[in-house]
Amino acid sequence: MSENKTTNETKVSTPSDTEVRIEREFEAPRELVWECFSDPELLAQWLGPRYLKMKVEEYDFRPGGKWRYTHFDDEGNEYFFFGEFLELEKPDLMVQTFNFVMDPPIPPAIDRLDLIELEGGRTRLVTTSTFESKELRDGMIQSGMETGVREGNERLDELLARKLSGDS
Amino acid sequence: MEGSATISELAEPTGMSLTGLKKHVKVLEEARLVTTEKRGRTRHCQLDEAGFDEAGFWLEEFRRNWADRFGRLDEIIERKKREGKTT
Repeated sequence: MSENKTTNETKVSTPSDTEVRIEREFEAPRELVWECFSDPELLAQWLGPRYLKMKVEEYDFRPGGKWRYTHFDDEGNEYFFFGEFLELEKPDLMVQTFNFVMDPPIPPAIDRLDLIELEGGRTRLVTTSTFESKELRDGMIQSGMETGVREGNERLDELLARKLSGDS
Repeated sequence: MEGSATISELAEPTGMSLTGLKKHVKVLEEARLVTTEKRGRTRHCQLDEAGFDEAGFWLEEFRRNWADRFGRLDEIIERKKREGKTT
């Protein structure tokens, strides 16, 4: 309800050689944050990278249930992901396997999402992805980021444009 | 390109003006991709290796990507909060 809201910071860390952790706070109670993960229609509206559309083919949101989605663009590039929900304890904890389809296949990561209740109806989300090796972790951070590179370049372009127009 | 180069050395093969090139260098410097050092009357530029540190670069890209996603998640949350309220 506060009108002067600022964007909460996204923090990324590597607690160990095989893990990557993302932390972010949200101005909403855990149940609402949970819903944005459990409802595939909502998920598709935010989880895809900026330049890609997202299509959820399967989302059986219960322990042992499978999920499968595709990120794609207009040029025919497609990135396939699938996994299985292992633990779902609303609104505290989600654990799932996470597979990025590669040729040859690579072993899955395990994603753990902790939703921590904060004062004032706020939530801290902590996601920890654990890989089988450091190489797989680093590979995931890099290979999943083709779009990140494009976005990064665009940001540099924007920065250049802003600086140049501001300076002249 | 290795080592350092002056603004005019960099401008010459590109056909850009010195003023134009200085602006580009300044932006690259702010992006921590280039460092510059004034020696006498000339400014020497070199690539900033720290800015190109591979792990750091990818991790920052990874972070930005997630910051983007969570920004969109914020919008959905705000929308859901409004929908949940009857005025």
